[in-house]
Amino acid sequence: MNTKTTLARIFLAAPSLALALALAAALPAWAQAPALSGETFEILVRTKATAPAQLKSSLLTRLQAQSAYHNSEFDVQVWKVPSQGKASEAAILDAVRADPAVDWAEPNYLRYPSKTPNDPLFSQQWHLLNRGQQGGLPGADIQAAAAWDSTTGDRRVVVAVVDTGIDYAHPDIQGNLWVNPREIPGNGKDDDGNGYVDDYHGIDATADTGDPMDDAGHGTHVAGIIGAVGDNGVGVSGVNWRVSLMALKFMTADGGTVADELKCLAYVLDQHSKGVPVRVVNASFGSGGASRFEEEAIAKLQDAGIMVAAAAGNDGGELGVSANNYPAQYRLMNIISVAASDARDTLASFSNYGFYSVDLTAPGVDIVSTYPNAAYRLLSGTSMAAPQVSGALALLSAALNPGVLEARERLLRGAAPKAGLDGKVFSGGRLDVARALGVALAGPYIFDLSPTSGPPGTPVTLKGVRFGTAPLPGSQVDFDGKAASVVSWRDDEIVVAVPADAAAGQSGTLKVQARTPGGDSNTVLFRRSAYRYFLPYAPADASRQSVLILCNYSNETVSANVFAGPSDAWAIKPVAEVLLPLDVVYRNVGSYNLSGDKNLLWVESPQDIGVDLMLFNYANGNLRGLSFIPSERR
Amino acid sequence: MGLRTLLLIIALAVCGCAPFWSRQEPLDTRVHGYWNALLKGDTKTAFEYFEPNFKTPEGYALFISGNRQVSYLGYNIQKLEINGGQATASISRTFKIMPGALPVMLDKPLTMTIAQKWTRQDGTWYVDADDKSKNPFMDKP
Repeated sequence: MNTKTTLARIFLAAPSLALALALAAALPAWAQAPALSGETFEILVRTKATAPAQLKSSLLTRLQAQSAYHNSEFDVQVWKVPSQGKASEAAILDAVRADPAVDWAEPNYLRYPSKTPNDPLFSQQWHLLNRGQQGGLPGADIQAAAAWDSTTGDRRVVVAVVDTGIDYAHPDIQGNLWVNPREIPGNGKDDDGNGYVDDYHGIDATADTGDPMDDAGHGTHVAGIIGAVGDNGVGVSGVNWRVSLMALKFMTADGGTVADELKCLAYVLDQHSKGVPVRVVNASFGSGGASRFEEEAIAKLQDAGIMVAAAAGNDGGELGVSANNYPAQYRLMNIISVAASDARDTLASFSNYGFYSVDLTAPGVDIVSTYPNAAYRLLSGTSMAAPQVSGALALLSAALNPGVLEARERLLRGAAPKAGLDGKVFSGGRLDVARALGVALAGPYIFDLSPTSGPPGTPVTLKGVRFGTAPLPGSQVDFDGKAASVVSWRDDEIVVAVPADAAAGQSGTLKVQARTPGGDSNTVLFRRSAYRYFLPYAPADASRQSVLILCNYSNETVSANVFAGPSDAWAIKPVAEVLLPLDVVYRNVGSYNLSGDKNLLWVESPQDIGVDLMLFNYANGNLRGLSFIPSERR
Repeated sequence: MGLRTLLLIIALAVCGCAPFWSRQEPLDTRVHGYWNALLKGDTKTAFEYFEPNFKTPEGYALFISGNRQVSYLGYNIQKLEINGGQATASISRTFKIMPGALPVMLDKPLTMTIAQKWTRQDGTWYVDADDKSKNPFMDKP
């Protein structure tokens, strides 16, 4: 029977198939998955037990199909059906599903063996594949095994490890070392004229030599996480089985200077300008001092399309609040700031965090990796978490070669959401390399907002992607569900004013989301600071008494802090904290013991309250009149 | 006049009290009289307690300008200090702001203490008006 005859018979048997075929141009998702096809394709079918046998055989006949196998345990039959291409397969499957004799039918999907390397210590690498070993939570890993079905890395992708150097003689790393194509090793000459002699694998910026041998161990451990040679029957596997590791030493066991770090970053940019495809810099280091030069250097890396995975730091604090750690804290699009999580997907106790400063977590507790002198060692820290992200970025480069924003979006969108990380890191999740590789980039995504806190009315800039070139109908930015007034709107940037009626909870945090016809964005947080009411104020004397009038308009008791000082720029402690019941509260502000005649009095409250000043004017203790000074809310 | 009588007169003069034969009321009686009048809303009677040179239509307007904005609910004399012909009365008084006196409605009573000056003229205590004082905030809204 030829094709026309087959299709004609199907149309006659199942009228709905005509419509299905007409719509077949837009294939369902399953049709894009690989199926056993050729002259025939296979489907898995379960027929209804109540259906007459005649009905089932009639369907097989109409399809020209054969029942090849029946799994009686699960009551699943394998049918071989003639194929005229993917479109017809989809339509036929729809028709089979619609047949009254059929309970369910689906393609006979192909499954591939998940790649795992043969490295003997791989079973201890819970961060790559967590099966619950070492008391962990199965699946609490970076999903490397699933990602390796897409790519295991590419030697053409260069990752610069800016650290304590790399033991380039380590048998599990040697094969993945970057090689300077313009340098002849061991000839004692600066062949490429870059100021470093024999910089074959990188440099030592502390000694200005071309020998980045690691004498501390940290850099070798980090390098192994990113790219210990995989599937070589030796030791461990890196996130990348194949990659090029550029060894850039600027630290010893005691640390290193920003000046030497900048030499390393200059080296990266120099090699990049010469065509070396450096895609990632790993920065498993940091400290509390913000460096303008360091930030500028990383901004230049961004211009070159180079990502930086930076450790969030090990102080156990909230960045920007109780701890600081740079470079992780710079708000640059190419910096992915990484906190550490453990084998149960919880934030490590030592790890810094922070919604505005940390992007995601990655495993960083008891990570086994390479160590100098052909050794392996377990280490913990955000230093071990950052290279997981560097490795992920290298895999992304190998598979998709994304730009800075796409790489960022893939990592953040793809992060596996974890309830315990909600509000702690920007993505609210842990690194998931497989999702990063496969995540659909559709709808708006907010990368950053600035400022991150302020009172109602504050202009807030959202930076992101796919907002739309203009605010189409239905486009808006919500603060806890209240639409904000739009100041300006571009595809990559929106400026809005924080709505006055956005009610923050006790924490004062508002959830911000961009809504467009293309979908809703991720949710980011904005800390609404207190309403501030300002009043000019002169201290009381014999001719004047002042009374602060505080009115609570809300349905609950709210607190208010009364501040006073020569100006609001002079931060002083509040002079009074007032609990406002559902009533008016008077405060005799003469008791605040201010001095001078140019004082400001101001009140802050998380709720919108009434604040005014009442002045009693006297002559020798005789009331001459009342004055009223309304506050100015800023 | 005997020596005893002379000494009594000198002593009374030093302490600022009126001689026992004076028909003038003592300071505390005068203070109570003034504040009781205000408590009753009797501003005309209260105004009579002001020093004589203040008792003009302009003076009354100045007096009433402040007191019509409040309604007194109670008072308490906390302290009287006499220094020659001058005295200071520390008065704690409770009052409400009259409707319309301020742009906001304030129903809650307010208690504040003031130091009111009194002056003695011809043996009688009067409220010291000091109409020369001017508050810099008076002209502001």
